[in-house]
Amino acid sequence: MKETVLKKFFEKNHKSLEIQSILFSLAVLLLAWLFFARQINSELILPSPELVFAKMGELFTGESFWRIFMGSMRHVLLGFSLAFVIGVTTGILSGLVKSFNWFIYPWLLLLRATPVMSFILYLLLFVPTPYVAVWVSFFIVYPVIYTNVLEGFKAVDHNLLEMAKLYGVSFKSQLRHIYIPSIFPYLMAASLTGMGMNIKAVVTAEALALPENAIGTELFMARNYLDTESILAWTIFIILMAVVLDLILLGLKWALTKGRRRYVIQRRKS
Amino acid sequence: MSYSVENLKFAYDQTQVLGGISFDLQEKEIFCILGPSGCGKTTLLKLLAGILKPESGLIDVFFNKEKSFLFQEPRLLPGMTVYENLVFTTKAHLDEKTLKEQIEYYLKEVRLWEYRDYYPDELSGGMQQRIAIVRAFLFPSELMLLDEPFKSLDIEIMLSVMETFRTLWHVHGRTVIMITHDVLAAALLGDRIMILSEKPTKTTALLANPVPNEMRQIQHVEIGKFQSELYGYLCGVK
Repeated sequence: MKETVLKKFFEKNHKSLEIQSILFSLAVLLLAWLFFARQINSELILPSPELVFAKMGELFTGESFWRIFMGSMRHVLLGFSLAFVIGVTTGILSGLVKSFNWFIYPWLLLLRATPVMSFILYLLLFVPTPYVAVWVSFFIVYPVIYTNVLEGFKAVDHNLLEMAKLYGVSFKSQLRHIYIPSIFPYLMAASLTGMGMNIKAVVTAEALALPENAIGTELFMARNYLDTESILAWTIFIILMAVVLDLILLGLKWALTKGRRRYVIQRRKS
Repeated sequence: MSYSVENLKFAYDQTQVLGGISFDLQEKEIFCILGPSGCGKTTLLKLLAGILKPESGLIDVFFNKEKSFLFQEPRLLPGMTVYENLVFTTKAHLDEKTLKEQIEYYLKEVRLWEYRDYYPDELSGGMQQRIAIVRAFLFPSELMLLDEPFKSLDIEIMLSVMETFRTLWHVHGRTVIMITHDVLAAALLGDRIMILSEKPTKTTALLANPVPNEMRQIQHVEIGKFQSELYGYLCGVK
């Protein structure tokens, strides 16, 4: 009886409990930071949250903030888009043509096994500094997108495919209504994973290539001046960028799957 | 128009699956192929559908005909509504206006019009299979190939789905080949029943259904008798 009441309570308050748990976790993190900052008592090693938040405000209201933030965002999005388009196209091609899959395989191994630092240092030799981060982003995200698209392709429902072929449905229609819905969940999972890795790699590449207007460059400069507050402030901005991009991807996923379904059901009910 | 299949043979991995099958089909009849599980019934249907190529035998006449299909599972696209699923397979064959009218007609005929905006997973298994039946009739075909379409349904739902099929077939008669291992389905639907042996599969009997169409109900004593006769042939008693 008690168990059922508890179960019902959790089901009813599922969403608010989720938000409360996240807020509680953030509060614990903040308190721990505050506690250790007080204990260490050194602004160079661990500045207090108040100082870092004040620095964030200062950076945010500075005239170059949006230029720097959008500079890094451009690197992240350009590399990601390139990897997305090429990853989806080659992933579908590999699904359709087995020999193409084997052709791509050694390239994929190469991209997976090569350290990010090797990419950056090599590209620095001949790629203009603003584009180093974009290429690094592409090399990091492409294998994730490609592999997942191929997995989605393999997971396609063969009964549905057989039905469509027997009814003479065009390949274009099969691709749009059978293959792509099968690939989509894998692609969204890959995009979320890839985006997290992408942001980290882009900032690393920026900190080594030092292009103008980039968060990585700001981090490098802050390190040179032993400005720990700025390092932490920019790091929080990077985290916020990752959160915003994740939310955009999740929103897109919702709109393209549950959103349409919910719209159809709502229209039906009304 | 009649169709004929002559001495159809098929081997897979050096195992003879079909050892020479021949039959004629009359226009607008339900021709039932009854055989034990694993005897190669689905292989035979795949040959007739053109998915597999026969080792020998003449079935060319089948390839040139438009065919519609009913499978063991409904095979509806999960991300599409009932209406969209019906459009998906037929849009290349009918203009938009006719397609719209036909879908409305067929769905009303089977009393599923109000479910046109439902997604497959919102419907019961029986309702999904009835939508698959509508899809098969909506498609402008001359031949209809049925691969054990009532296999995964329990008896009550099976009878209701079968009734839907019969209702549409009586009005829009097509030449139907149905393969099944279910003696009841064969007795209730088949006009003629061909019984197959185990591998290498051969025809053991070809029977005309002695029960008139209007009497083909599960409770009818004649259906019971015919079922017993079919069991006899299947078990090799006859």
